Amino acid sequence: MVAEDPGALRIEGLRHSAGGRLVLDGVDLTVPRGESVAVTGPSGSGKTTLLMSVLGLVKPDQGAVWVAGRDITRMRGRALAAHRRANLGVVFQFGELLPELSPVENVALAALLAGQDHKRAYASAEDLLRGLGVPADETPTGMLSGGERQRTAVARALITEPAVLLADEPTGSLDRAARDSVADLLFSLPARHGCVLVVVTHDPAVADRADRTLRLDMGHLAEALA
Amino acid sequence: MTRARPASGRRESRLWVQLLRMGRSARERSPGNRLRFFSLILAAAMATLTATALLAVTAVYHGRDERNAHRNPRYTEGHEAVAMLLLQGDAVGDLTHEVSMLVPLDASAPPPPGIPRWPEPGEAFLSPELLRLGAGEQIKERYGRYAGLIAPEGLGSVNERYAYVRPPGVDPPRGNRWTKITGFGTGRPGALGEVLDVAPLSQFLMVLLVVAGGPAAVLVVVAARCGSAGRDRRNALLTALGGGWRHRAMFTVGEAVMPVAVGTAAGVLPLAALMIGDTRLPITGYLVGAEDMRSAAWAIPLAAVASFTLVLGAVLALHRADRSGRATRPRVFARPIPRWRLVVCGLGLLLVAASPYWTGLTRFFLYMAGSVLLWATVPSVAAVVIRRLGAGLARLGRLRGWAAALIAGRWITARPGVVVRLSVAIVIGLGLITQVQVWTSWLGSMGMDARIAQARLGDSVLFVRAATLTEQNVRWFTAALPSGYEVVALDPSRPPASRPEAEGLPPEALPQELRAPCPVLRRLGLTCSTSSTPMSGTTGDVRLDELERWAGNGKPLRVRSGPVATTGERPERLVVLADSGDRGQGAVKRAAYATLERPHVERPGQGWLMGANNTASYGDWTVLFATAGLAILLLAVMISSAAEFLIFGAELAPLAVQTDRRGVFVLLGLWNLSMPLVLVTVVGALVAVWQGQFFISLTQSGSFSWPILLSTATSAGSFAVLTGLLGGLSASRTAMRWRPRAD
Repeated sequence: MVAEDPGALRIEGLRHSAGGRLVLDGVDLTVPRGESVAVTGPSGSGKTTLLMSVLGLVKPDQGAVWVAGRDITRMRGRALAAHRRANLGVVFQFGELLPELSPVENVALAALLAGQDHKRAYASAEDLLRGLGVPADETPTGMLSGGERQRTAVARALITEPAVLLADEPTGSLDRAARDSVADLLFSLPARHGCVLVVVTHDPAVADRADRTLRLDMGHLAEALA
Repeated sequence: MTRARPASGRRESRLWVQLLRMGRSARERSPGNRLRFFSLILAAAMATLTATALLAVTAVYHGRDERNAHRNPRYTEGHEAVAMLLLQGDAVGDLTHEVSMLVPLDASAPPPPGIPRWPEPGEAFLSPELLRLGAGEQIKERYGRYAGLIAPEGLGSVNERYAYVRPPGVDPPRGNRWTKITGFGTGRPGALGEVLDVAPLSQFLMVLLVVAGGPAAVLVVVAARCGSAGRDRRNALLTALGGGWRHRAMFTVGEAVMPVAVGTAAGVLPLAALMIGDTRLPITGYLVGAEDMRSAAWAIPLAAVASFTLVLGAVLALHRADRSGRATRPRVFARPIPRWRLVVCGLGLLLVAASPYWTGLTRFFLYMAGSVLLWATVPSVAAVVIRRLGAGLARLGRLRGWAAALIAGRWITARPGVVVRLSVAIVIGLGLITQVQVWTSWLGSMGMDARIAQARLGDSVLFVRAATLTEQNVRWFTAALPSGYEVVALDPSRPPASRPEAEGLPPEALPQELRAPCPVLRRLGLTCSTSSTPMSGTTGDVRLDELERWAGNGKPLRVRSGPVATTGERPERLVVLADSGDRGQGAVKRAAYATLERPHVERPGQGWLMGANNTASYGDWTVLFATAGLAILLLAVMISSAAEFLIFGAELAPLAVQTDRRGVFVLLGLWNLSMPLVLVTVVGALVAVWQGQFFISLTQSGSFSWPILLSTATSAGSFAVLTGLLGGLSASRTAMRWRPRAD
């Protein structure tokens, strides 16, 4: 079965257990293009495992994950890596950037590794950073503030123009002002780029910005109660 | 109060056990744990190996002294003598050995230790090593009949070349060089055999300690600090929780005790292996006696405990808590290099380059001071150069869109330490090996000439001396030689009666004269005349040209026909000319020992080469230790680089995992480590060539070995590529296991 909208993310009956414990127990989720979803839940509830399954870094025991029209649980090796590079972008909690490289280089790097032409990669990186309010000069990324670093990480996730953007606690390490600025930016992306956004967060202030908020608990994903 | 104390003691001891356990599990779980585990094993093994090597050397010297004391002849002037003795030098190739000529006066007296009986006239007992080395020169027949081997207890070491010889038919011997002895064993070591050719123990231990112990110490420091960032943070945490120095120490001991113990045990194994049987060492070819090694067995546990304590102590001492009171995070960017260090480096170079324009002590002082300044500041200069290189590489990577080159360039610029350490190890390694090679090739001008003469002549010209060269002896000697040899006498030319002023001149100021019967002179292409005539210019015979050079006292040789020896005219020495240089000295030496009293056979200029060979053999030991030391040093820098590269690698892991580009790590390793190191190897080789040639021009002697430089540079190049590949592959493996943290 193929999802109607190839740009959407569709998860069907996802089950996964780790260390004898059922982490995901029949999770279903569909997110159409241009929509954002926040996933909340207590620590250890399997939020990150859910993201890793969408990325294809964790093989679920059962179920399907459709990304850009293909079930990635059935894909292997190079085909999976190529599909991930083309269609998925991630923002990690701590940015995970190379501190010695300039922001432009950090952002362009993802495009270069994805096989893009280097001139186009640098031009897009500069455009993206300018649009996100990060100085696109030669300052090493290690010298930037926490908010600027996370915005650079967002730019890096966007440079390959992914259909699905995942963010794992993207504001977890930021102060309030930086948090608001990064969260506003993230949740504006589905409308601006037509992508799907899935954000895993503990922070209700961040989750409130999403079109839908879901709660993962005891392996089940359900609409969060307001 | 009285009850509280034991309870608190129990609590305290439980705490220690807990801390030790926590340390152990920290070792098993912390990132880069395997690298540190193995580097601590290696470091402890190398430290123990150095300690046991010191022990082994001391045991060899001690054993040699003890056995020498047992075989040392007891000299006497009186009538109680049991034997006559004459110690004489001989050589196999260019390696000298001692021959103990013996004639027993009292057959019931005990023979020298190591041989079962006194040799019969014309018999010889040889040491196993002399028999082995002299096989090509028929050493078995040189001194007469071979009677057997000298047992190890009668030799300085199993490596010693030695012979007990009883000359044929000289009973009792005459001549003032023979001495009377009352037996063997004086209780003092004495100077006999191998001990004459070896460096003093203290000097040997010092070289070993500096050349092998120094790098082992570096390895200990590197292993102790391997992946230190995480542990320094943990230390800060323990301090913040109220832990004192002792608590931190327990934690650290728990973490390090196992690998250090395993390494110490491994370090003892080579010495244990030497105890099993006599073992020949590489490079020097020295045969180490198992018996000497077994005699040191009692000290091995002490050496092992000392080395274990030392390494663990170093790990504790180097496990510091952050005292700055600021962040526990390590600095990401290296500080800029102070400019003065570059100025000092330039000054050092200037002093070295200026030293030839001075003489004597000033020249030596300038050379040494310049070298010290140069070497002390080379790392700083290397850092500046490497940083520039990094910036260039990053520019190139960015321009061409080469991701690996861009990242490698930025890493090199931000943290040049890894590449600098590796570069300094390579430059010092290349320089050291080249310097040792050039120093040991130093012969002095006479030595160089002797080597050239040897290459031209082989064994086609040999000088033969003996106690007395009577007509009968010379006839027997000539008859004992196989065909293809000519024997001529070589004496100072008697001044003609017309030049009475030359009568009082010393022999070395007189021209030398070759004397032989006409048929011999004709076969040599010389004119036959009963009056002494100078040899005509160049004869076209390289043997005669070299003979004139080495024996002519700076004057043309003269030639006269006549018998080689007569009753009234005994020659001072004989010259044996062979029709080919490839026949070796064996036949001539055998004939000489069979027919002459106390013969001595040598090539022209051989004395100059013997000294040079001693220098070369000391050089072999230095090369052996230096090779071991450098191997350890390279291992140390390789480990520290791999550890830091893994930390770098972790930064890229998230992106690499997401994009599944693991190949980027191998490329990164090649750009970040291999490429700069290959460049450094080229520069290091050029510096080594310059230094070597500089030394040669300074001393006007020695030779530069291109094959040695080429093989060293090739090894360094391979090391560079290997380091890059290893770093890249291990970073790739670590990165691919990376997953986001949190829940």
